[in-house]
Amino acid sequence: MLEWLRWLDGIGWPWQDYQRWPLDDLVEQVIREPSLERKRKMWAEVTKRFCVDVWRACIDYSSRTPAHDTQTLVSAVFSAMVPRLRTERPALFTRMLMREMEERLDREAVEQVRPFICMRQFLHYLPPRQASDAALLLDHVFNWAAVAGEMRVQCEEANRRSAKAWHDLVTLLLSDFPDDELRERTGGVVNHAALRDRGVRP
Amino acid sequence: MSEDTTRVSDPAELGNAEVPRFLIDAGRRLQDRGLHRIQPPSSLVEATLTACEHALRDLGSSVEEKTGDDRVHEWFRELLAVRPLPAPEFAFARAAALSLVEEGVAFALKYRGSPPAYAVEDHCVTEPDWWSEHEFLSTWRMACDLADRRLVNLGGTPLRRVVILRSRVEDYNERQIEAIRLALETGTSDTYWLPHNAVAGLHNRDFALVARSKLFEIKRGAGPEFVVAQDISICREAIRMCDELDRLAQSGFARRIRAAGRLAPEAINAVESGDTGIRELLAKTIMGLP
Repeated sequence: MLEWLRWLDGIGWPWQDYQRWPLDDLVEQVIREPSLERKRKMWAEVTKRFCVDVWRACIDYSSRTPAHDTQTLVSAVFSAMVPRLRTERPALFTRMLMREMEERLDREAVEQVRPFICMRQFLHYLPPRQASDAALLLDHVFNWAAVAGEMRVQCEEANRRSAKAWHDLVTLLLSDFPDDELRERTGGVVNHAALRDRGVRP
Repeated sequence: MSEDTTRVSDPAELGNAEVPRFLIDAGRRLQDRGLHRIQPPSSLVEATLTACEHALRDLGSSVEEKTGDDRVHEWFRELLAVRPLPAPEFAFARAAALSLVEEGVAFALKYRGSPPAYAVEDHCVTEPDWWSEHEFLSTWRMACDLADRRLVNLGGTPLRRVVILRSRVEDYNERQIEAIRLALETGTSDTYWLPHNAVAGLHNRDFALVARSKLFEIKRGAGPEFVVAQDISICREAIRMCDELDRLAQSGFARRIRAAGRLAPEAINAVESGDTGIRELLAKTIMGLP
């Protein structure tokens, strides 16, 4: 299925607009969307984006049933969001999710994945193929062999594509999102200074 | 759960990857804990979606039944959310357009006979052809059309647009005349034309007063520049000017171009006669001829 979607992307098939939205904004649209079918599609997009990180936090917490705990956590946060979204500014979802994770798991487990969750919110700001390239690096925690395997290319090519995707993403975020907004959406984890500080520590 | 024990990243590769350091550090911590070796089951996303199904259904049933008009409104919100305008223009267009579609329409429905907004357009500030060239201006126009359509459907009064003309017809080039013709042909708002300097303090002002309370002003720089007025005294001044415009419109001093959704007969003639007809109508208005 994924290959098929990538092929469509490759020939320039029109992608759904909502795949370009930051995650929190997409959640707002899920609430407001009148069609249940479209709600499902949008929510599937949100779920795809952060499920892996919630699951990893559950593993780190030594959960015996990480998949089940992930499902419970995500559905609980979503249900809790609904009444609040009618009255409050909705750019809260990511932070609510992390707060709920802290309560149900523990702070240390959440700290491990927090930067990944915060950054995933913006991955789909890239065109679909690049978003996928950027996401693979997080999905496989910088495991190049696995990334290259998913891309079906050599490690060097995977490295080149990832570099391009991340360069473009950071450039876009720096130009399109004010520092305050990035901080607000991610509880300060993502900000202009942090985005500019790239590469490995000397 | 699959297991992958192949090599992980080395510092040089991460350096090339242009990944922010805070992510690299987080990735290292996850690698130290061995979390890079395991992947979630392929059914994780599907199972999580199933777990959320009840919340989605509850949400579906709690949403009010939308009318076709509401859906247009929703679509417009989505359009603004995804439209790739540069940040300052985007902020202005979004604020002005949503203010008009939401507050302006509510105001016009509450106070029947009042328009949702007054839009004063001075051709010395905003060139007539800018409306199709600058995306934030065309977004505003779309919002006006949307508000007008909603109000006409609901029996309200559409937006009142007052166009302040230049002092000479020769000051308009062909492109601008064509833009004026197009605006006449496709517009939906009640529209009046006024000669330059017709109202004291009004010329060289280009603004929209929404619901008699919010003022969005366009200033002229190299292109249009945008200001949202916070000062209550500036809003009061705009309200005074709009009342004056209403008085002028009723007294027949201003030339009525479109009212109740219909173009005036002389405007229809001008549109059909093309460039010459538009110039003649402009000239008559500028000289104050009936």
